[in-house]
Amino acid sequence: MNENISREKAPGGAPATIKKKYRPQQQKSAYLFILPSMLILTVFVFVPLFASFIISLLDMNIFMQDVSFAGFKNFARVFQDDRVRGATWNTFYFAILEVPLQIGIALLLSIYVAKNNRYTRALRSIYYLPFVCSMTAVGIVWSMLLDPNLGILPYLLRCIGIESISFLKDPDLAMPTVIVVSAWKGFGYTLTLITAAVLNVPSSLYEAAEMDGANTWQKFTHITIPGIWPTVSFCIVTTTISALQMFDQAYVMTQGGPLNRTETLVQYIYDRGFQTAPYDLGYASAISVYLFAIIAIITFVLRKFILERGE
Amino acid sequence: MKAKKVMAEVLAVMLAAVSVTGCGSSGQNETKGADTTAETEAAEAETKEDTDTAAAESGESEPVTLQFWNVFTGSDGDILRAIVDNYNETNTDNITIEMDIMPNDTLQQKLPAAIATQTAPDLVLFGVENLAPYVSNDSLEDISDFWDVTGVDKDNFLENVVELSYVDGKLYGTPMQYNVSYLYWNKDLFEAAGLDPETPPATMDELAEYAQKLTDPSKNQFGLAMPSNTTYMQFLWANGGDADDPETNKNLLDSEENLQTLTWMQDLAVNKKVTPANVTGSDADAMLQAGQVAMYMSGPWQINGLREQGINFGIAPCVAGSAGAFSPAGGCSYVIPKGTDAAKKQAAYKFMKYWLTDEILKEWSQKNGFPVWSRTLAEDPEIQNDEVLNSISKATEIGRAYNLGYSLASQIDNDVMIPMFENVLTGAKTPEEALKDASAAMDTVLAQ
Amino acid sequence: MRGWKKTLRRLPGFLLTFCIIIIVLAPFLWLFVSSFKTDSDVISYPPRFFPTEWTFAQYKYVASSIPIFSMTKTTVIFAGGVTILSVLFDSMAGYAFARMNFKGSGLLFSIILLTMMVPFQIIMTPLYIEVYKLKLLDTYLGLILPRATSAFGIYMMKSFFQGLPKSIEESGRIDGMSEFRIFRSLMLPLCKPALASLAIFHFMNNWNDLLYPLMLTSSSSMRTLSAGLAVLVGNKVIKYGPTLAAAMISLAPLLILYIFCQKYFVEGIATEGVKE
Repeated sequence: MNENISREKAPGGAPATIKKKYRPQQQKSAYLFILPSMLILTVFVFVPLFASFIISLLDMNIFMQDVSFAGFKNFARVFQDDRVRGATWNTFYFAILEVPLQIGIALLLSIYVAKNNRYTRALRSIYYLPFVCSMTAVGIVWSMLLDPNLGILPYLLRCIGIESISFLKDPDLAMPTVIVVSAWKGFGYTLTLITAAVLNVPSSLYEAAEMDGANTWQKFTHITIPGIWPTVSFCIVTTTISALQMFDQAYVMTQGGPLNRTETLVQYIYDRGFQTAPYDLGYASAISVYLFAIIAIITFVLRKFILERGE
Repeated sequence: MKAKKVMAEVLAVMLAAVSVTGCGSSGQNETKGADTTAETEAAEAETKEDTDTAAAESGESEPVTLQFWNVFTGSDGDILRAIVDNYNETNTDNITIEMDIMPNDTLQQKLPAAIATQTAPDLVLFGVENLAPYVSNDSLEDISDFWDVTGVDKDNFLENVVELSYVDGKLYGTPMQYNVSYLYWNKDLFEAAGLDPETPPATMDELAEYAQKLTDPSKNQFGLAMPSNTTYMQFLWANGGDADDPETNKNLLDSEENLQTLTWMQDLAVNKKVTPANVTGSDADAMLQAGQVAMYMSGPWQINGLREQGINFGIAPCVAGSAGAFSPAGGCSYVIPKGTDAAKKQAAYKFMKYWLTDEILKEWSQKNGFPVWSRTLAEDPEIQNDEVLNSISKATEIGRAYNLGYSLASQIDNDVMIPMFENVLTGAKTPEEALKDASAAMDTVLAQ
Repeated sequence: MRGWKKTLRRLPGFLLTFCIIIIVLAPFLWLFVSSFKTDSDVISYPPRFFPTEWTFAQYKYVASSIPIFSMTKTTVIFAGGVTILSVLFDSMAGYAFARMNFKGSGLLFSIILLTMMVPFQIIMTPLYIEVYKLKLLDTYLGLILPRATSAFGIYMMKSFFQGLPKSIEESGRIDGMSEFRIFRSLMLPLCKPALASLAIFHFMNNWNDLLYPLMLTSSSSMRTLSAGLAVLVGNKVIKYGPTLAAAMISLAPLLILYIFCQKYFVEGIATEGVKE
């Protein structure tokens, strides 16, 4: 499976390498360069991952007693479970709104922040701040600020006549609220990377475009966007991957509620494997494999689509 | 059966292969390591016997260090720590207890893996609802000989409390604390609403009536907090309903009584809006402490917070319905993970015995407001004059075990009961729908 | 008249900046002042932004409940160790994937990307057993090694190295430099901003991580700060006051680090831009 996908996605990673001749000396150093990383990833990620693939085929709980072969029984359950369906929907709901929101805010602001004046210098020193903080701390602060009964924001809204917005407690508003808080926390990182990329676009290109009479919008779409595309695509791919693994935010702020409306796949995996007896590790691993497949497919589609545009 | 064994072997081989591929030489080290552990264990067991005799002769004993995991985060953890520290300083058996507090979630993730890898602590303190799943996976030491070995008088403790530590007739833990749910009420708010501050509601009808009188949206004040992430067995039982029968694996949800109870709850929450919408237990705690909630049903752990906030509160038994008044019981027990060696097990027994002395139980009850369940301690004049403990003890009499000792308990809670109550309290489903869906979910869980 | 117009032209920029600063900083300001509130102030109704009386009680409570200093030490060693190793290994691998031709690079890179798609919750139990089998449980090495490289870092460094002009390593090769020297003396200095941002990324990620250090240590002397502070948040009753103080304590070292690094970090980006 890897073989096929990698060949398909090769246009992204290394189309040039296929044509070029390999120099033996360089090859040897290249392998040495990646050796430490490959070793660590193999031992500490692939081996456990492989183990959890095996576990998904077993009837096994976290006590690891009475293990028996289950075949695809766990996977059959995955596709019949309403909560898996709900969690899949929530996971996509989160990713589809959060990723564009975070990247969009960063992209728009980067145009302004890339200018060099006293306002942007002030901005640059603070927008990274939320990203540095732990999701636990951020989650606690926001859930207290937004608490419909004791929180200061709903209180202020009530003072100006907007009645009873329960944010995290309202089944329809909880996920949008989690999305906004996640974007609040994450936009600074994306903005930093994109701003750096914008600043790295050679100014000579802009000067040439100005001589050809290009307006601001044209300069943005024809020079800035292509120039920063590798960075943007990196941001899209990594943000999407982590959005599909969303856990901390909802774990701290909503515990998956209300009415399971913010329960994501990772949360459900966690619940089945570690929170609800009989701690069904086999079933939790089966859902993991399902999630892993979703993420892998989406990532490779994204990379193929986005990187082909970029090259 | 055979297939299971084969699978277990396959898994063992796989894990061994995992460690071999992981690091070339580690496989060897590992087996060697295992051997040496076995040897040391044997050696320790021997020395233990030696020291036991030696100790008996000289009155001194080898130092023993016990790793002790528990889930007592928050303020009751401080009190527990003080007791353990004091034990470390004063015990004459040369026992040192190293305490490690962690959130319940974390403990549940680490402990099974730790027991499987023989890295488990020697003593664990957790909720009695955990006993059944651990026992059914053979992960706890059978300590049925505890009463004989230590000479602690089992009959001095209330039977229903001790009973919680037994699974299938065998003792797996010693009781540490016991509690049921109580009705807390804010006396000041009662007075302000024109109700008698010393008379809490005794029936479900009164509860509903008072809750409405005590609700005042203009002050953001609510009559009765009903968190949506918990269960309300006390209401189902009060009307003669139930959820399931652990003995026979029978689903008892789909009944006229339960429908009546759920309809009553939805009317209170959705139509009369006596509870803040969609709150969690900890939200409700905070609102009770802030004086925004007049009545709330919860365990004894509320007492310290309410005292600190200076709330003028009372504690009453849960209200009665047509079938009487009941309250779900719970508690915590000390347990010894499987594989703990004999010497440490003996040391753990000594600490368990220490906990069961009236002196310690008294300290715990007085500082934390937990009910007293030692018969001799209940005679203690100080305890008898303690107003809070008195009302608590009275309210504890209606305690009723709910699925304790049943290995499906937490799944029934998480997959059936909590979603049902949440749907009813938020108005997401009608009581009929909620009950029907919950009953179907219950069938799925019980079919396992 | 002219000055007025200038002000007007600047107004949108000012408003934008003002709004962002408020949105970003207000929650932190609230956290900071609230950590000096008494318990009853924290949950009072109507809510107040500032404390009615300032108190250190919450900090005192936190300090008396957990060994903050030894936990901080553990955390610094853990997060620092991971950061140093990971920045080194990530940039080496990223460099190889970006600038060197070798057989199977596409496939290997895809495989590395796969590791990004694995939520930690999925592998944590097998990982625990593995670390135990390697006899690394409860050691710094056992904490640091599994985190000593990351697909994210490799991917990020690869993206940065790809953006550098081709001429650089060619000149190095003409001078007869070894591949490692080209990497170390020519390429790395150009990537300082990227390295700094990756280092900050790794450091704060590991500093803030809760589940991982809790899972891979079984003795309380190896607890990290975030994990230790999590203990203060009660199971049954959340104590809001100490929770806020604990959140502040766990943030403080990062904020200080941030203040020191962001100058280098943000200006590093800016000067990079100016140079081009």
